[in-house]
Formats: sequence, structure tokens, C-alpha cells
Amino acid sequence: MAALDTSIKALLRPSDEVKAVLEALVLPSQHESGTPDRSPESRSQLEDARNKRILAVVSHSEAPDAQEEGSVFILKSKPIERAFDQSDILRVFPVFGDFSISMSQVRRETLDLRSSSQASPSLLSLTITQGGIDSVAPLTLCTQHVEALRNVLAECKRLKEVADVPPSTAAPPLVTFSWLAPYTARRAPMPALSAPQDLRVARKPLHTRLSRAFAGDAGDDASDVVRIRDAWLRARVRETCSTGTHELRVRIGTFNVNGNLPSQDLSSWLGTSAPSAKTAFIPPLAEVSPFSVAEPAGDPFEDPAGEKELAAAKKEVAPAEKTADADPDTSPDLLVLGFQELDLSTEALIYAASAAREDAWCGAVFAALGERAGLYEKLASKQLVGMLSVVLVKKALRGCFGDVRTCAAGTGIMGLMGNKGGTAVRLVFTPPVAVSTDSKENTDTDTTEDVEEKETRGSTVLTFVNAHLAAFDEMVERRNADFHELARKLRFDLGAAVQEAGAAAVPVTCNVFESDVLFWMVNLNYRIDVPDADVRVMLGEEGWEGRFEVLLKYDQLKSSMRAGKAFDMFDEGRITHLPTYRFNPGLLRDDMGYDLKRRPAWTDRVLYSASAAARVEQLSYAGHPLITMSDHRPVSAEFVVSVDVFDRAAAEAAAEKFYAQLNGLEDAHEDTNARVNLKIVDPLVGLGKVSYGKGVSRRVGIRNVGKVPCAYRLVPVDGESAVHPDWLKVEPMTALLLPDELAYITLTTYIDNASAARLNIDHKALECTLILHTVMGKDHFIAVTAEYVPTCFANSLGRLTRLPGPIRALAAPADLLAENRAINAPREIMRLVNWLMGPNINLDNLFVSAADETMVDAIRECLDTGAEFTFSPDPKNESAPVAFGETLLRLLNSLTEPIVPVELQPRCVDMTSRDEAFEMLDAFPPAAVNVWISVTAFLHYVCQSSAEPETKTKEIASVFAPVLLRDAEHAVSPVGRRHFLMYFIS
Amino acid sequence: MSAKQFQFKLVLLGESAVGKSSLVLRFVKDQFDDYRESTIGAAFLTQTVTLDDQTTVKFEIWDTAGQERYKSLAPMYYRNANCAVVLYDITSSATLEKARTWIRELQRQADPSIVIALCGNKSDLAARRQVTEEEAKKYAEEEGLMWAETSAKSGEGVSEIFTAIAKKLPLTAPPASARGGAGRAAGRAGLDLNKQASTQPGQDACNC
Repeated sequence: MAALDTSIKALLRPSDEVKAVLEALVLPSQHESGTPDRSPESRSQLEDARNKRILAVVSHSEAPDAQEEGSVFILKSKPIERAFDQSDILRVFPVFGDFSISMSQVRRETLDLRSSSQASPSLLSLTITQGGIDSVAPLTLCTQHVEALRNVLAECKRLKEVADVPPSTAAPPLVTFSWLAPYTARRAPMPALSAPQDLRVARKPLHTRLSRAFAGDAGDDASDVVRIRDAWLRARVRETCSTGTHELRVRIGTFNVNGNLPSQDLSSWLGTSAPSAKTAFIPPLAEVSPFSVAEPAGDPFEDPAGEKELAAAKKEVAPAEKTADADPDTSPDLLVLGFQELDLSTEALIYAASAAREDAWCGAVFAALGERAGLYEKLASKQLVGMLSVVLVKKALRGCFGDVRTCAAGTGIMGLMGNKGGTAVRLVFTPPVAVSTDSKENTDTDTTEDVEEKETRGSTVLTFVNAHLAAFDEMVERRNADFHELARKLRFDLGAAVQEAGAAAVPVTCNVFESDVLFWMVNLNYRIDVPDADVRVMLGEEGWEGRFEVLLKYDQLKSSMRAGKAFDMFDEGRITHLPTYRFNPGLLRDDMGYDLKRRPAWTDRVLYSASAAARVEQLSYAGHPLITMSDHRPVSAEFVVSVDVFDRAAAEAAAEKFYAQLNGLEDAHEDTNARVNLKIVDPLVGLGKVSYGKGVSRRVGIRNVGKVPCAYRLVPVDGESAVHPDWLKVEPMTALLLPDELAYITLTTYIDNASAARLNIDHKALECTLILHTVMGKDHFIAVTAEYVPTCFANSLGRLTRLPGPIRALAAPADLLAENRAINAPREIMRLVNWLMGPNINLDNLFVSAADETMVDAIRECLDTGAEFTFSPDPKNESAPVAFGETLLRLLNSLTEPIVPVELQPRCVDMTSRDEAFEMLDAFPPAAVNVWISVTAFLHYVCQSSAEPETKTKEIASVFAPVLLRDAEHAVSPVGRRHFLMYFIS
Repeated sequence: MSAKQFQFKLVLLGESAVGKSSLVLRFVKDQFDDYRESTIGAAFLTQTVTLDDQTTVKFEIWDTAGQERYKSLAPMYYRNANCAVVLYDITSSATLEKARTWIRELQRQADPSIVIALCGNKSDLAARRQVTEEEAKKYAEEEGLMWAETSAKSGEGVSEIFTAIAKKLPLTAPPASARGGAGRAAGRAGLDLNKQASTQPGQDACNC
């Protein structure tokens, strides 16, 4: 009985209390006829669980001194280990008005009902009549529990008396029994949480997925509350049910083979031991389809640049890539390979693909795996014309991958043909019990339990897409469209495989984004938007630190991702390898081996996206220049995917438990309840002095003082505004609070170049009002104030030269010097340069080592206040000069306009000699000339002081050119900008 | 069901502590708290008034913060309002001054067809009266406003002023039930229609 009590309590809200509980039976015949005086016809009726009922007397009280209200709940009986939920409440009888409950002895018609047993307790019948205006048929139950029945009757009598006594207070009685509404309301069924959410949705912050709302216009509260609720449920279930993580090593490869058959060893691509020329793989040509008779191996033409290319390639073998070698523990659990242009013959477009080429490539892959080939088997493959996805799995883990699905879609000729498009594989991974090394709890369970446990192990959905998008440089929009087209068309037919109990709503097909982890290995054909010659120059400049980063700023894929046009929900590892396209052996080639007909590009990429249920860590990302059989180079990427380990049954139970806690969340608070549910602990927030770069944080407490769960979201003042000003960060923007829960919103000031540039002009007092909208309820205001302290960062050169002293000393804009009395160059820049050019300064690591942030802050503070620098020159101190150098670089970069005006930059990059470059300076504004001369003179001095002046010059030019000749539009050649600067510093 | 239901947006404005939230609480729940915390925000409540002829008017009420600090946010809440109750406290002349400021702002910036009621609250505290009935009534007549005194504490005059407003509103909009029931979005749809049936603030100031 105590357990029953507890489990009913879990169903109730905190304001409600169980007073008495009784186990009873309802007999179908009686239920219909309503006659209480017939005994059950057979013993089986007594035993049938479907007839069992739980009767509970529940009382409710708003406040200690408020009037008590009572009600009788009739619940479905259930196994003791399962929690009650709202659907178990069959009927509710409020104790008021004509409510009555009476008992009587059941007359026995069948005397031998319990003939074998000793004198059994007599069966008692009880009848409950509904109070109030509804004339509903009374309910009759019977029970053997005399003592419990007595308690129930006593409690009902007491509550009836309370209800009948008129309240003593002057206020009108409010016996509304509105507290029963959440129990009796038809609640929507619990959302299915087991299927992964679409990553395009799940990856977006929750608050950006809510309806458009602002002050005085709550938007679509009803749908918002569902989104907030589901996110809360998912997070809560994950937090409580995860018993550890399982690490899965996944190696992804992508290779556009240009119609070739394997003719080289692929082991470097697969991460096995380095290839040796002697054991080069010879493909099994005999089985090649008659439709694909392209020359499989070798190059029929003489290859004059071949030697050079190979030499260049060997130098570029990524040192960062850690090959797994023979260590089986670090070898990938899954090898997922995407091939493109497997078959270029026109016949391939028309006839169904033969497996011959797939077999040839799989054979080459297994051959390249060498000794480890025996560890793997093919789990899945899917081919569409030239595109082929192959998934190899370690045999030991084969049993962990279930429900393998594949699909394909063409986006090529006429939007249908398979010359472009994608193939995809979907796997459901259930972590093995014994191998879960990180598992906190399951380590000491014995084997038999393990087997049972595996039955309910929660699983993770992994999806791999191999895609080939539209070619040619100018087709970027087409490629973006292809991506969305593919995203729409690639659908897995799930059949009946996921029709688990209670998950009837699961669709029979799903898209590739409905995964926990999604990889796209792609021949994207996205190019680099930099002139051909520049790309080649930059790629050849091995001393140009960060040349890949510079080029990747112009990469079409990266800019499409930034602009949210395609692939915006994906992440990509840092590219440290050379572009993998294009090496056409039949054409003229540059020193790097790239042919001259196509601009080199990173066309072969591996992207990934993961939900909160999995974490993806990229271990390597590399091109494989030694595999030269195609016009593309293969690319590999190795990952550790950590998936949550959890018990599915436990997760389902937890979800039900949490869902039960949310009872009342969706109710409209304002209509039924004029009281406040959320209370802001202190709605006036003073952040004090705030300055550039240094965040000041305050927490604002929010307590749910209501009786039901409550969600909030921050909304903007109107349709045109942001939720908060740019100088403030607010986290979280939306949350859900259970009754009595205290949560915090963290407000952090955030002054970056953009906000400082605006605030430096005149905003000393910062203030804003945040509007916290209670979903289904009222708006709360949080008033935030702060005092802005100006900085020399993020000003225009003109303004800096008109400062009469340190910027903090400037009281009003009127105190600025007249334009004709402006100083030659900003004193802040000169102070930094002078310090750095002073005696005993160690310049070795300048602009190379990472700066100490505290030191940078301290230096900037001195510039802002005019205080003396506290760092004295010391040849042994390397960190101070590095910090000064970094401050100089950042100060220059923060200027609202670059030193070299944007409109002059196209002319600067055309300069062909040092003299011409110096003549260019005449066109600069005066302050810019002075800064340019001082800074370049200093940089020249740094280069000359270096042990290797030439390398140092290139290095420094690479760092300073993008700053001094800043170009937000990326319109000017990065090579040209660097050259212009080099005229001055070399 | 032959009864017609109309829906209107009503906003409460006035100096801090004149009793805006108390007035709404009395109107919506027929309750009164002696100690109420200052409203820092804006609350949305609804209450339905039944007129004599089987017609009901559902008020969607925005109770706003009175503190000066939040004054700039008020336009967001009175935007598209069909009616406004501007409250003052009869025991404080300063609150009537503030009410005048609100009325001027509404006349300048709110929907031109808005029905404004000036309401002197705390009529139970007549002993400490600073604002005479005559003074307030005269001002209301000059400005073409409805006027009444109320007591959220005793309930005096509360339902009367809301009923009077309901009668004053142009009942030409299609019944709310035809738009699929309550909800703020549905309410707004009705408001736009009301705008066309423009009625200038009544000339006959109501004294109820």
C-alpha cells in the first residue's frame, strides 16, 4: 500500500495530497447495469487485471489557511514498477454538492466461489455518485479491503463536511475545483523522443525556433510551449539516463576516381601502413564490365611533369596524419568510403550499374587493408551510376549495427540522372555492452545480465551521404540548389523496422538529417574565388603561414555555409592539406602538379553534423597526394564519435516521469489564474563599468512560484529590434521551470569592435529592458544598466588624432581638437611602436607566439588611461614584446577604416616596384601616411633584426597585409596586398 | 447559439500604485489583495461581459507597469487597443496629472478610434480625497472621455465601468466565435476590422 501511495503521489502536483487509497474491482456486468447487489460470476473476473481499479481520495489546498477541496480519483490498476500517468485517471469525483459514497454487502449467488479456501473476507460494494449539475451514472466498485474502505469513507465524509461549511472569510467562496482541470484535461500523447530529430532543426538554438513574438504580442504560445517542452524532455532524459559513452572510431574517405579502375595502392588513404612501391596493387581486370573499358591503369601519355609532381606530393604528405598502423585498438571501427565518377561511360547512365566496378574497388580497398583486411567485412553499399557508398565494419562489431538502410537520388541531367546526386547509408548503432569502457555503471555486470541488457540498449542513428554536386566555377548557386534538392530527395525507406511498441507515429520514410550523427563525404566541386594565378602563387608559398586559412576565406563552400545557403548545419575540420583538384596528366601543369586548365580547389570534402546525443571529434583530415591515378586526390578524415550509452526502457520510463512533471504546462495561465507564476528575483540589474574586451557577468534569478511548470522566452520590444542590444549576451534565452525551481539567466557584457565603434562616439550610460515573456502568461521586465568606459580601440584614425589626451579623459565630443590642429598620428599606436623599438626588446617571437591575454588587457588599459606601461624592457622577457605586438596588431585591426583606404587598395596591388609603391603614399590621408610609415619602418626593423630576414619578411607580410589593407569584401587579391606591404618592409 | 461574442483589446495605463492590477483582479476574479507587488512587466488577462441583449464582449486586457522606467514600452502594449482605462488615485492629485499625460499620449499615438475611460480609483478612501469628482469629470468632458470612480477594494463601480465601455464599443465586428474562438491572434484579426468602423471618442461622457 505504501508503494501505491508513493506512486500516486508521483502523479499528483505538489499542492495535492493522497488521503486514502483503496484497491477495488469493477465488474463489467455491474458497471453497465449499475446494480450493486450481484456477486461476481467467476473467479476469473476477480483476477482479471483489466477489472482492477485504484480509488484514491485526494485533497487540495491553495495555501495553509485556504479552504481544502477533496476529490475521489478512479485510476486504472497497473504493475507496481510502472509509474501512473494522466491516462490512468479514469474518473474524478469532486467532493461537493450531491456527491455521495455508500457501501453495502454483496449478496452471494454462487456459494462455491471460494469453496476451497478458508473463510474469505466478504466482498463489499461501494457506489459513488457524482456531485454537481452533471447527472452521470453512479459508479459501483467492489472490494475486499474493509479497513481501507473504512478510511476512504471517513476521509470522504470529512471532506464533504468541509465543502458544506460556508467559508468564514468575507471574500466570496471560490470552490471551483479548477485544480482538477489538469488531471481531467485530455493531454496530448507524449512526444516520441526515441527517433532522432532532424539535424537542421536540432542544431538551431531553441529560441530561434520559436514563433515570432514581441512585447504585447506573444506569438504562437501554444506551439512554442511544445517546442520548449520537447527540448526540455530530451535534455532531461539524456542527462539522467546516460550511463556513459561509447567511442566509435570512424574513418571517412572520399575519392573522385574519374572513371578509372584501381591501379595504385590505397593504403595511405585507408590509414594503413605507408605504401611501398613494390607491392603496388594490381586490380582484377578480368571481371570488369564490358561497358567500362576505359584504360584502367597507368598513363598512356608521357608524363614530363610526373617526377616533379611526385616530389611535390611526397613533401606534402600530411605529417599530422597519424596512421593507425598495426595497433588494432586505434584502427577504425567503421570505414566509410564515398566514390564519385566510378563509371563515366554513357552506358552507365542508361543501364543499371553492374557490380563489377564496385567489386574492383572493394577488392582494392581490402587489398590495401593488408593484414587487417581479415578484421573487416562489408556492411553495406549503394551505387548510383558513378557514385558509390561502401561501409566496412569490424567483424567484431558487426552485431552492433542493425537496420541498415540505403538510398540514392539523382540531381544530374534533367534533375534526375545519376551523373550527379548522392548515395546514402543509414545505420542504427547499439553499443556493445562489454566494450563500453567509459561506462560508469555497467562494468561489473556479469555476462548473462549483459545479454538481457542488450535487448533494451538505446541506439544511435548514423548516416553517411556520398554526394557529387554540379561542376564548374560559376555554378555555385546550382551547387547550393543541388544540396537542397538532394536533402529533399534522399529518403530512407524504413519499412516496419522501427515500428516499436507505442511508436506507431514513426513515419515509414525518413530523410538523411533525421540522425544523431551525419557525415557528408562530397565531391562538392565548390571552388576558390581567387584569381587562378594568385591561388597557384599562394599554394606554392610554403613559408606563408596561414595561406590555407586565407584561401579558405574565398572558398565557395565556406562562404555558402557562412551565408546559410547550404550545408549551414555542418562542421568541418581544419584543412591543412593542399587542394585535391585538378591533376590532369594530359595537360600542361604548374610546379605543384595542378593542370593549368582548372583553378586548384578543395573540391573533396568531409563534413559532419551531430545532435546533442553524440559528440564528434575529428582526429585527422588529409589529402593523399601519392595516389595519383585520378584527376582528384583522395581525401580521408578520421573521427571519434562518442555516443551516449543508455537503457532504452529506462529512457522511456524517465521520459514518462518527466512528462508527468509537466502537467499543467500547456494550460493558459492568464485565463484561469491571475497570479504570477514566475518571479524575477531582482528585476533591476546594474552591471557597473563595462569596457572593451572584458565581459562583466551578472546572474538574474527566476523562480517559479506557481503550482504548475512554466516556460519563458525573451522577446524583442518590436518586430524590428533584437531581443537584447549587441553589447549584451543573454543565456539562456528560453527555459522551462518546474514549480519551486530557481533558474538563472546570465547577462554578460560583450563589447567587440562593432559595438565599441558605436559606443565610443557618445554612449556612456547603457541601458536596456529585457522582456521575459512567460509562455501562456505575462511579460516581465528586466531593466539592465551599465556604464560604458571608452577605449582607443575601434575608433577612426581621424578621431584618434583629434583626441587632446587619453581617450578616457575626453569628457565631451566638443573637447576633440579641431581638424586642423589634429596630431600627426594616434599617440596610442606611436606608444606601442616606440616601446617595441626601445632598447633591450626581444623581438624573436613577435607575431609568432600566442600573446598573454592579461598582458594585452593591461597594455590596452594603459593606452586608454594614458598611464605608463608597467612592463620594463628586458631582453629575457619574451612575453611582454609578444603582448605589445599583439596589441598593436589588434589596435590596427580594430580601426573603423583600414590604414590603406579601401578605394586605394586596387591601385596598391597593381604596384610593380618599390618606387611606385612609395609614390602611392601621396594618395593616403595624412594620418594614414604617418601610421603606415611608422608601422612599416618598425616591421622593417623587426625583419632586419631577425636571423632569417627573408622568411621573417614573408611571415610578417602575411600577418600585417590583411590588417593594414583590410578588405571585408574579399575583393582584392591577397597576394597583391602582401606584395605591396613587402615593398616597405623588406 | 444565437448569442454574439465580440472581442476587444483593452489596455490599463496610469501612474504606479494607482491600482491598475487590483482593478483587473477585481474585474476578472472578483478578488482583492491588500498587499500587491508592483507590476514589473505586463500581464494579459481576459474577462467577458454580458450585455443585456444576449451579446457578450470579451475583453483582452493588458495590465501594464506604471513605473516611469518602463514608460517607453507602453506603446507596445496599447498598440491596436480598442479601449483604454487610464487610472488615477483620488487621494493623489499627482496621479491625475500623470493620467492626463497618458491620455495626451493615447490621443496622439494610439488608434484614433480608441475609447478612453478615465477612472478615479480608491473611492473607498474618500476621506483622503485630493481629486474632486467635479475636477476630474470636467476634464473628462472636455476631452470626450468616459469617466467613473471605482474601488478595486470594495468592488464599487468596477464591473460598471467595464460594462459601460463594452456598450460604447462599436459592435460591428463579426462575432469572435466565427473566427475560431479566443486567442490573441484571433483577437487582433478582429481589431483590424474594428478600425474601419471608426468611432471618435464619444461626446457624451458617461458617468456611471
